[in-house]
Amino acid sequence: MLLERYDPLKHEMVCILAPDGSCNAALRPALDDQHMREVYQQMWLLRLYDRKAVALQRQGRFGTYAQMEGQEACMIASVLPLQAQDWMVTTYRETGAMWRHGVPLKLLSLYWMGNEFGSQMPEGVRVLPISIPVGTHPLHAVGLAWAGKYRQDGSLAVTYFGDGATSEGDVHEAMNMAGVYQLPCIFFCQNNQYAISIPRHAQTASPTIAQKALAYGFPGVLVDGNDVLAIYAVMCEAVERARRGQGPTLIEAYTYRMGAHTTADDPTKYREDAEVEEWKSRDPLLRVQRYLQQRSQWSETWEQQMLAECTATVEQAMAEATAVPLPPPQDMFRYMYAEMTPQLIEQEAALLASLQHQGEGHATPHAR
Amino acid sequence: MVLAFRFPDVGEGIHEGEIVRWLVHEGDSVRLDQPMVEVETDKAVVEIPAPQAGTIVRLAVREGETIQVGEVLVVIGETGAPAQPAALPPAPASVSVVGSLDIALTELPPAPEMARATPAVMPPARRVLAIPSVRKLARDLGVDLTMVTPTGPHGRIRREDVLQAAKPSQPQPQRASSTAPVSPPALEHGPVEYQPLSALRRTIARTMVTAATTAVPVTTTDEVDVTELVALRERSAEAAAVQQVHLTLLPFMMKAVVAALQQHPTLNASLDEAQQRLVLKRYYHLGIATDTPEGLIVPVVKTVDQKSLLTLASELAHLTELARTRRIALPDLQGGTFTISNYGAIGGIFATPMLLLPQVAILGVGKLLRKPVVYHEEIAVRTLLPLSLTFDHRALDGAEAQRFLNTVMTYLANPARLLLTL
Amino acid sequence: MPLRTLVEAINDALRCEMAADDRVILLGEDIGREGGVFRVTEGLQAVYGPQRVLDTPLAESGIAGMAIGMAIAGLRPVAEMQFMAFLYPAFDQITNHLGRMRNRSRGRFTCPLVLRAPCGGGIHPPEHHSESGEAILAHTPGIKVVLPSTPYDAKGLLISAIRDPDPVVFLEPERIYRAVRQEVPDGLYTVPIGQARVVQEGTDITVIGWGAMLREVNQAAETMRGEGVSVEVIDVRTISPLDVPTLITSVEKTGRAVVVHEAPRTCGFGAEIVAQINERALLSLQAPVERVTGFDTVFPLPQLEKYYMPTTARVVEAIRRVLAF
Repeated sequence: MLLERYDPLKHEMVCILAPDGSCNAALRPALDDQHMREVYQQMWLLRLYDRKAVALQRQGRFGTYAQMEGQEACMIASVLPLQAQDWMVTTYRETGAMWRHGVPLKLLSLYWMGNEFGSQMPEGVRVLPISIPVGTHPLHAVGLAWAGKYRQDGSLAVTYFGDGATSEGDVHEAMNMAGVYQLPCIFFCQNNQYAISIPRHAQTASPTIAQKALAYGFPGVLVDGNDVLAIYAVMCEAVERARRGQGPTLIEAYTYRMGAHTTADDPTKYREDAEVEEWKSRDPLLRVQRYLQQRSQWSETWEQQMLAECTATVEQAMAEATAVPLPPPQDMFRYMYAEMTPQLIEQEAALLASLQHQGEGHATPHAR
Repeated sequence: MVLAFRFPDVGEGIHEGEIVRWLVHEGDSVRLDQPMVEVETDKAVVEIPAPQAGTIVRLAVREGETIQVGEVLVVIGETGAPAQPAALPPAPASVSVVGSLDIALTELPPAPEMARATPAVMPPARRVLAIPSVRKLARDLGVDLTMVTPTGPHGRIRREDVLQAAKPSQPQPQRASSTAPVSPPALEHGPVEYQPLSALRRTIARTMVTAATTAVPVTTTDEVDVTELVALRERSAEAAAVQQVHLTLLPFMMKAVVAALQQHPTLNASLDEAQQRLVLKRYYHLGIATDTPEGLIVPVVKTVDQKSLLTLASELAHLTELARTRRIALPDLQGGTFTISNYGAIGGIFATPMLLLPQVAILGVGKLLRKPVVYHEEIAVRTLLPLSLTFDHRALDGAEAQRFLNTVMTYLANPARLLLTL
Repeated sequence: MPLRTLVEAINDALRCEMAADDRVILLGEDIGREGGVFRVTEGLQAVYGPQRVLDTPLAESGIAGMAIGMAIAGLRPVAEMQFMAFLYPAFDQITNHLGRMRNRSRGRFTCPLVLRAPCGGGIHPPEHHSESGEAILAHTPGIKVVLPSTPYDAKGLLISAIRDPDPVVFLEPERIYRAVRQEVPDGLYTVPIGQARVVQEGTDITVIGWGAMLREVNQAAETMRGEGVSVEVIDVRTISPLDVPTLITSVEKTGRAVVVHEAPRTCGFGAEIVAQINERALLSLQAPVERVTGFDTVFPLPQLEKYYMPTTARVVEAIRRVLAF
């Protein structure tokens, strides 16, 4: 219903929860207070995790990290309507969404610390590893969605990407193919206004990203990316479409990247503080807090307690990840193929011999 | 820019040289092409000019020391004080979207393209051609490949060559090297004096070993009655002296040899092992073994067949003088097709002269002897010249060699016949 | 036993494996109704339907990326790139994801898929239809690269490739698609990936080749046999992982080798083979290993085609040079 009513060609944006906490009752989706408090807490967990990650990076314990501050609404609300059997295919700025769909924080931390085991998702968790080459992964979601349709198992695939990714050819190919095969695939674009330093208006001449869907023959909708209720509502509709076999949907979540592109980026070089300040007033957590307050679902005590719990959760995840021992060099060779090739066996042995010679002992290699 | 000038190959595969005399000092200014140093290479002393103008920064090798081709000989800098290196700018903060960049404060040396002087060309070190398995065999057998004569195509050493060289009957001495050899254990039984081998000596040693271990030298000897020739020379000497030419027997011998070579071309040849063939020379350049204070040197007189006795005598005098004073140029030491060793000038009758590879023959001439011989069926005192012809039995047989020698002797014994060939 | 061309053998492999394993899905441009531009997939959509034989939009990167997703989901896609040159748009997916997914996820997600592409020159086509990029693919970690030269091998290797738990790029030499015929059994059989084949034994020199070049190699061997030279011919079959022991055993026996490939010379896969021989059999060599290759040029249009591809004569020349060293 929202998908039909909100025309991206007319620049119409779905907004339900306003920055001041007030809510459009007519459009409000079925998310009760209990759920909203959980949503609020989860968003805070992500924000605290994000800040901790940045701090650890500055201390040299995290590698380069892509911050998600400001985009918490997308991360949580878009995942709520999903089921465990649904696939998630992300870029590198969806740490929160990945967690929400089942990837433990410890594993995510392990990834950012530079250990491939951070991408060894637990059985049953249908989240693909973070994809770095921009725009290349929506095609994987297309394949996963195709398999779901072929098997008629009711599963769907959601793929996340930014405004920058929409300029890549592979994203066009992915949406085109999803349209041709009418796949249960949701394209969730987090338009956070910047692709590193390139502002949104320099990325495409199209007034909105959402309207690009029309060229592929399926609906696109523009939604306030800092509004959990709007995202949730729109996502529910997209999921419904997919499950009914009605094909793909493109959701453009209009949000803002509050932090830098990554921990090594300096955004003061290309954007104004005034702009950032302006977006602070539209902060996704702030409006949920106000919403809860207005519905008497919030108290200072609860907030502090909640934050303390989140902090503890974050600390524990970081501690667990830090405690994982450094991987042995054999790991480089063991996971390239199901069976190591003769070349890899030999090369592994050569490296180990060299390390031994230099005085670093490692267990001798054995064929897998 | 500063140029570290390397010792080049100054003549056809020279490998090393000995510094005879520096003509400049450190700190001197030099002009382009100004002579810097005298270097002795094999048997020639070569003068090396400055490759660029500038200041001599450093003489890299001392007088009397040996330098290998390709090593630094002298360092020439620009005239004037060297520029101070610019202070490095402060390191910028690490900037990267991903990962972290190391900020290094290393200053690299200037790119070679920036050097104004032409870079010295490094000539290839002397090459031994052998495939890896052959090299390994040599290593395993302790064979020095530089001492092995190749019999494979294009000068390549074959496995059989290594095996041959490894046979106990042919010990392989080490190639004379410029680095200090290991001192022998102190086994002297009395006071000794050490005389380091000169470059020339080392070269001779090398050449002799090669000849001895690869060629098959056989010597045939004979005597020839040169009484008439001697008389002829005496009669001609006066006329020659008028032209300031000292006429010895040697020019006559050279002419006799050349006349014989023209009739026995296989003795005026070289053995090309690589191609398995004799190269018969259609020119006649005779090497004349000459004793010098430093050792044996063999200047080559070119186109002997085309020169008069007087010219030959004159040239001989000139070349031997140059050789004795070590001023002889390399071209005058090269190109010989046959060699004469007139050791008789010093003494000796018969000998076994060593082949000068790749030539296939060498004629040794002993001292003139006044002897009683049977002459026209009566005893007479005649002047006899002993001859010793060494030939390479790989290329020739004794009969051929002897026939050549007979021809030479015919001309020496009958100057009138020799005259007809001139 | 029926005689089959390369095209028929590949078609048969697909047919048999699709019958045996309903996870096998074919996708590519024009493979369904058209049956493929070389008719390799002819008749398959009629049997297995458009659900399992997909005609895709014109999007090579899309095809490859979608196949990756399908494979991760547990299917066994066999995707066709219409020509080797059109595999290049998919290189992003191949190098950045296909060869990495298993390693990236420490084995949690894998891509058991096959990318098929006709390769090589000799069919007098317009530009871009004669590419040989096996060296670039061999240089990509995480994938396997197979290049058969006979119909029997093609069927067996393709079935192995489909069953392989890792991604395989299956290159098909278009010049011999229909030029050779061989007995190919009905039903399922496999030829192992990672094993070269000694086509004929010999003692004087080893000649190593793959794909369409085996024809020239075999002809050269025949010519040399007439001159009393005993040539050992090896068909590499799998480019990556290369069967090094078979090549070394041969070179240790003969002491001489020539490598033949139509791909460009510099950094061609022949260079890797020579490097391996150098590392492992140097002391057996009586001569340097020579390579007979294409040139570091763009593959020419038909009028110059005959100068580019290694001919039997060029192979014979190289053999003679190596013997005479």
